Amino acid sequence: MVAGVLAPASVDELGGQLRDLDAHHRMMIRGLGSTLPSDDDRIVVDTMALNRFVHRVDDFSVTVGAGVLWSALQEQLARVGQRVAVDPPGVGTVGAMVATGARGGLIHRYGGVRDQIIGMTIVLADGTVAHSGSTVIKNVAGYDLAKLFAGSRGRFGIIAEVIFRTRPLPETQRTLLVPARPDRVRALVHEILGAHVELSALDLVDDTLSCLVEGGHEVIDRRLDRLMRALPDTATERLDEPQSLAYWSRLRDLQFPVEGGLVFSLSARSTVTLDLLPMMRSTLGSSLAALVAHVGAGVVEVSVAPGGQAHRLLELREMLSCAAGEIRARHPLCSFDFEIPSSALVTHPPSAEARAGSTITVRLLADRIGMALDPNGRFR
Amino acid sequence: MAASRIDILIDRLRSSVERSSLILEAAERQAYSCDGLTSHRAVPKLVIVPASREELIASVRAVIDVDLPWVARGAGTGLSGGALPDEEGVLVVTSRLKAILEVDPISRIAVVEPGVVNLELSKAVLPHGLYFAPDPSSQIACSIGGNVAENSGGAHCFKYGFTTHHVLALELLLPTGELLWLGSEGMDGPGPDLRGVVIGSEGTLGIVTRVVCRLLPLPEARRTFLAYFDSVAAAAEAVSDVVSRGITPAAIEMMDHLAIAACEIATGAGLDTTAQSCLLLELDGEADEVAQEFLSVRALMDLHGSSHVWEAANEEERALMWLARKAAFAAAGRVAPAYIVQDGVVPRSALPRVLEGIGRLGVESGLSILNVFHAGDGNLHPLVTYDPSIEGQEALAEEVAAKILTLCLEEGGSLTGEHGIGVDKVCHMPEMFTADDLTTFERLRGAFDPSGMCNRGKLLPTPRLCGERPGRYQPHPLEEAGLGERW
Amino acid sequence: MGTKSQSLTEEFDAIAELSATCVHCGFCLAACPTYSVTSMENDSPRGRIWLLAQAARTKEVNDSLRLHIDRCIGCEACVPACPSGVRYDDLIDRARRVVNVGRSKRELLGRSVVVASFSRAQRFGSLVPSAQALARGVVKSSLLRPQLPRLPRVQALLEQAATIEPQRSMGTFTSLVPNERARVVMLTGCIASVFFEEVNAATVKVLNAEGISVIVPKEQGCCGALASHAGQHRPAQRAARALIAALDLPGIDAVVTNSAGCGAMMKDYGELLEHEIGSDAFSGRVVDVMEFLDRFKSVIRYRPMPREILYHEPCHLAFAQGVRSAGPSVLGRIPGLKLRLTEGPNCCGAGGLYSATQPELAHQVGEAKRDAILEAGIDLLVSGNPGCAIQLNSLLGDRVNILHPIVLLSRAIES
Repeated sequence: MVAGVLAPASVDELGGQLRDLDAHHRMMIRGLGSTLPSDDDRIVVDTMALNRFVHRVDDFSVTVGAGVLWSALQEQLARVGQRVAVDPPGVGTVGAMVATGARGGLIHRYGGVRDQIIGMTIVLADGTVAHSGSTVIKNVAGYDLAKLFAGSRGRFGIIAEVIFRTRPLPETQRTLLVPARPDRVRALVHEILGAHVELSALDLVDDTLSCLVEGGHEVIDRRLDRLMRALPDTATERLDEPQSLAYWSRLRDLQFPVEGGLVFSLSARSTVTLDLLPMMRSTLGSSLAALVAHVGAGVVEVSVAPGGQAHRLLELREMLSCAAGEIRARHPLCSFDFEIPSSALVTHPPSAEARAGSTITVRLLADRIGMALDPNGRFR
Repeated sequence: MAASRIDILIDRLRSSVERSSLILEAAERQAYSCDGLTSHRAVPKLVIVPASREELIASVRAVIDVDLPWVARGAGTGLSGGALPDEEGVLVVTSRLKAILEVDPISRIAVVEPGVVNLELSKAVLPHGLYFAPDPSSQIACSIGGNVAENSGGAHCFKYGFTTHHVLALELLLPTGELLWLGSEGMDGPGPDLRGVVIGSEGTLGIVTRVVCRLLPLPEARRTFLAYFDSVAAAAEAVSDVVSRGITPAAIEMMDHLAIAACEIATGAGLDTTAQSCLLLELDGEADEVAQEFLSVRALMDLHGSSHVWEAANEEERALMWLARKAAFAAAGRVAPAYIVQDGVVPRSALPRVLEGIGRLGVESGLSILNVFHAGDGNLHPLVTYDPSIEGQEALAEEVAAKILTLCLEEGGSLTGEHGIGVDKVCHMPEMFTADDLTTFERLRGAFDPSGMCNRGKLLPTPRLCGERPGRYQPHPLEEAGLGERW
Repeated sequence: MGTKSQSLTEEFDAIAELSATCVHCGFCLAACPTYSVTSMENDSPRGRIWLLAQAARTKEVNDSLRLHIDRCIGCEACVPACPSGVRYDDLIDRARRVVNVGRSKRELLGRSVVVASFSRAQRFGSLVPSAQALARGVVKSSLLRPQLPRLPRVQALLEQAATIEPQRSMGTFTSLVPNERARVVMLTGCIASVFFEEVNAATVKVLNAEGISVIVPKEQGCCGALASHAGQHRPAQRAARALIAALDLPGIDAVVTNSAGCGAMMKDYGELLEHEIGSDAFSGRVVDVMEFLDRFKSVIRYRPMPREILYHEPCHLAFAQGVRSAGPSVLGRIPGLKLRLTEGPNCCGAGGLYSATQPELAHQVGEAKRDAILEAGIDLLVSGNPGCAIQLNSLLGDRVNILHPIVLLSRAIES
């Protein structure tokens, strides 16, 4: 059983509750929480009641509590023709999406969730409530705490409220599917990117390059035509709007762990990830559940079946160690402490001084930040 | 005490760096006494201009070893005094580290040294049909390292974002002397985004020794035009309207009458100096989309009473328009003996209100205020002009400038959109941030720089700098954001 | 003595006022050839202005100031680059005079000898070897600066002297054309007339072909630019007065020069002579030959020349005189000719005596220019300034052919 549950209804209430707690109580943050294990002595901070929602429509920004469901956020925004330009797999709260550094195919054009945040309110373990950023899209005052907390998996404190930059919801979308044999991928990607058609996503799945084109009704088919003309020797397939929506929904599902499985995410130079793909497939063999590569962004999601995960991770790390990349794992447990050999985190490019010992790892620096913001290790 | 430590340092450096990398002469050090913010000056005890990355690392470590305060400087074009030297310490200048180490046109990235000039990178990758998107007005001179420190924006960041969106990874020498890479060469790295924390940290978390820049393809089509208006309010309404319709021009810049006149004197670009205000708009992207956007934006300009429009007929005319716009700050020097630049940000919908407020402040104070700014981002650059030879006018100008910032904060905006806090606005920080916010910043800073020797006195207010003046408590924008609620 | 310190005070006051317009924005950095080589603040216009402002405050000239003023080529590329309108051209003239105060006698003497040896080249006529000997003597006696490692430009001049057949100066002559459209007087130039006589001949030929009569007075001295660059105010003024007397003939439409450096100096006579009677009017008549040709609708038929050439803008033409479009416009009359500019800073590092006094930096600036030129992969370059031509020639050797644009025009005239 957990030691207790806090369910604050406001940021200030949360701050007060944490200030009143015994400094040594360890804590765990829960959003939707269906998959959380019931840790023995932890106090659970349930964020679901942090549900403020302030949408400044004309300014294209929205303030939203961490407990609001991601899907609810997007639905509300869509009513007035806007969205936060991130399409992560799975369901969860805004807090969870931000804390895990969520992203999907739209990373190609818009970056990850961290790139959509213009302000954040956080609560530290000792109850300190801190803000960074604000409701304006351009702002360099103070440190960008939002960057620190995006992807931090609750290590430094609680994400209480987030201010997103919203964008116009595109009128419509199309997808062009381009068959891509492994030996042709690089050339095809080059041709697609050179077509002067701005893609919203470019994913490689199962030897197919999927090009998402979003925009206005009037010109979208002309734009798709141009994309096809840039690939004269390739038999492509066009998806209309309903097909396209369904297709990307399926792609999102592939990026979510299968039952009992794990998703490893790799981030490296785009050409490096392309070179690694065949190797990943052959090495992982039958334990590979799915492999989705955001090829323009240099990010690959590797979904592996249950069993032998640590071994799989070592194999991937081995591949990356000579290819200058980084690796992380995504797991329903959202555990930042998933054991990753630290050398896999930093060595880009592997350099002489990295071996000479005068360097430190990102992990170590993150630990120092953890010590500064959470000295008693309540969130560790 | 400090002097002897300096002597020890110089002694050590003589054997580890080139003689030409050390600037010892007092007169020569004086040339480094300020960056683009000339109102604050300090002469450092020593200036190091390393000739290589290895020298940079070795010399900064030597400075850390003797426990002296130090400050990093790029090209010295910053406008908030972020590179203001520490009088008791060392200034480390990256201007000689200007090698473009690698360009990968397929992955669309470049690996550069911090001293590479912003525009030089774009020039170098032009043959590949690529460019580096952040384009601060000083891009002709400012360095990538400085862009990283300040999270530089520029005219086109409304559509394309800031330095943080275009720097994928960086190699950082921490204030502890340790070296590490942050970020990856892909768009999103694992774990907490420490790369994103360092970008915009104003040189307080270390010094960047290598940078991986993301490059964008040059847009297929581009249309640039100036729309003139009979009033500032009309132009501001036009901007709000464009933005609220979800149109994303590459740039929307605004100048008022005085700014137009100053820029025209400085550049002779052919601006209409009789107009009360003008918008410089640039649309770019795919030809089809640009053509359509152009029609909608033109219609909006007409709707808001634009008196006439000058569209750039060719690249030369476009260059002229941008030359005029980017020369604005320095051009103000032609119409007034001195001025204070502000850099506040407001939500776009508040632009008309805030501009009216600034106009009122100008009338009340009797000072001329030039307005030139990135309207698409709501990033204002009012230039409060004054004559230092007139008793009390400088203080009055400072007061007006401060009131403008208050106006911005009241709208839920920010003290600075791109120039940074530096020393310039450090004492205003308590107006935007609560004591808890500032303590949290300090804790974060301490994790990077436990001894507090790296660009000390910048970014975060200290009693020594700002007196015992308690920060005026200001409800955070979040606390009063109920204003704009709409479902 | 009293007048000297008084004039120094005036100079400092003027410097204080001129430097106060600098807002320290740094836009000049990219335009500056020395900063682009060294990346050192004190080798940039902004840094030098700061040094000068400090000197004006303290009324003191120190070695740092002297060093960095000496290291300025004086290309003036920073002047159009400055949004605040800082008159760096004016500043550097004053600075050069100011830093001579307190300079060691040995050094001053050395500088005078170099100025004299080049500015009197014409009067020595075909006696190039004696100028050569003089130059050698200068090198040996090391009067210029204590540790001069090498003198590439002087060497270049010497090599040039050895390979180019010394040509006699033209002597006075008048080349009138029937139904003349204009009548001009031509400056033969001191260096140009010795090393580049073809340039003068070509100038006359092209002007005549356009229906312009040319008068070339025999007694012409140096325009004074070399003395002025060395901060020698009085000698420069003397040269200016002498040249005005020689060239300011009645009934003349313009004073034409094919040397950008001389043109820049002569257009500045009004300032140099403190607007004494006739000086401003004379300066107003001075015109670069390309600038002058650009004013006329051409009546010449040129042979097509279907090829690409590099166009080098001499700093003294582009920045000091603000003449930028005339050269390309006039050369554009040759059918098929395509012009390309080189990347990077404009300056080649020649800058009057600069390469003799700052050999190391001049060499570095030159090397950067050389690389940019070779990068372009074109083997013909035109430059409208003899000083640049010599510098570029010594940098590029046989790899790129260097011509004055007027020579290219002259060769393209259909006979």
